Amino acid sequence: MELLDRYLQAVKFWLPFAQQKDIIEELRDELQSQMDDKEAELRRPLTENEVQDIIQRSGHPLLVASRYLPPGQLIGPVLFPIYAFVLKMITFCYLLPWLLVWLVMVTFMPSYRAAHTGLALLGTLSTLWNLAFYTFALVTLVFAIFERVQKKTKWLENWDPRQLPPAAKRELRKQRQPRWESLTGLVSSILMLIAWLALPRFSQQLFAPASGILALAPGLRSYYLPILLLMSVEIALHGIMLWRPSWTWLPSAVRLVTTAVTLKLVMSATQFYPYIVWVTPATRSAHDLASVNQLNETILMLNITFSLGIALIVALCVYAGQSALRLWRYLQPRFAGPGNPGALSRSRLF
Amino acid sequence: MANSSVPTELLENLRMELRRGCLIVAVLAQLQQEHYGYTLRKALDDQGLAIDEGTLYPLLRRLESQGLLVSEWREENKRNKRFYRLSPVGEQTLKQLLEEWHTINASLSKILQEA
Repeated sequence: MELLDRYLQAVKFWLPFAQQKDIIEELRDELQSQMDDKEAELRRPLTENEVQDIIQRSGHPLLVASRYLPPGQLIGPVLFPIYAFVLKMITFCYLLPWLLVWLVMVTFMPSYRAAHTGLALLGTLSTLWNLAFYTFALVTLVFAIFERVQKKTKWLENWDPRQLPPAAKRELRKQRQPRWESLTGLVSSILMLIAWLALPRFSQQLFAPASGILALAPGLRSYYLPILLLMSVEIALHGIMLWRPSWTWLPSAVRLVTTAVTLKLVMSATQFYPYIVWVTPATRSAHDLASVNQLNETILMLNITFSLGIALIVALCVYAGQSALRLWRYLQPRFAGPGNPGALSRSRLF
Repeated sequence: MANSSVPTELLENLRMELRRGCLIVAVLAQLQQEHYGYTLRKALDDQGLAIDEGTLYPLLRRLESQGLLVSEWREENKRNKRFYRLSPVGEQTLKQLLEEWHTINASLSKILQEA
């Protein structure tokens, strides 16, 4: 009976302490009775293999014990779909773009590869793994707390249909960008353009006392005009939207292009290391030179351009999706016409 | 041409769901007479309702904790056995469950006749 004892001991380990003895005695009697019946049928003692068969049929110790345990779920079936949705959103909207940016940098930026050779290149991904691990752990913890609260307070049972958000408007052709939004955007863009234009003339007043001592790397100065152009495009966009508020597809389409250009500019700017230099390096002490070197190293280490790159790629994905969706919404009634109800029902999906 | 046979796993899950409620009624009905686990299992098996020990014993404990069964340890054939039988609450519950089962059965028969 050594095999039976070993089996019962394994089951006992997983059982609730208060019920262990009781359950094990009952299980022992059940298996013993099965063996007695089999012996009576065969009219001889059972072989070890036959005992093993009976025990094996009873099930894995963990499985048998689990049936006696109270049902326990970290996140139950009610909250699980929301939990899975949140994790998917984090994966697709943050972690995946992060990975894509890293791939782009590894593929197209020799300077990045040169700075991280061999295994150090894979080591640059450690931030992503840490971020993914802590994010998933935190989301799981939050939902586990929600689950406990939900079970105790039953807040999902106390609901009122009148508190649900208003239904989406079916008449999409009437969608317009509010004029006040375009006007605010236009004014703020013009103010930013004025500030940008004033920058070369008034830089001494703006950045004094650092302006006469420190400067951006000479290569970075060539970005002045492209940025000026991007600002002008933004002003033109607000102007058009003020004039044609129903062209809701235009802002995301234009920003898709301008964000792509900005991304290209940011990526090409990384080649101008060191980003900040002394205006008169020859007259500087070794300590001063070391300070600015440290400043540049910090900028490089913090991956400012890298973080900006991630933000821009995420923005690109969002604008691409928005452009496609808004263009489709804008064009769809024109193709479908009022007599085609299918067009309207499809548009409700968005 | 599409395959119209029901996937085995799906059928098994549906069968389990259908059996789950019926098994509780069957166990309660069988325990109108006193049984210990092994003889109860054999009695149900003899009536055509096979149930494995991994399902039966946790079910017996649950029904007892819900007050539908009472049990006691007694020695029989030189071995300690736990005997179960219906409690007064269990008898009342069985009666109501059987009424419910008859209603469902009658409704289902009617639906099947109409179909």
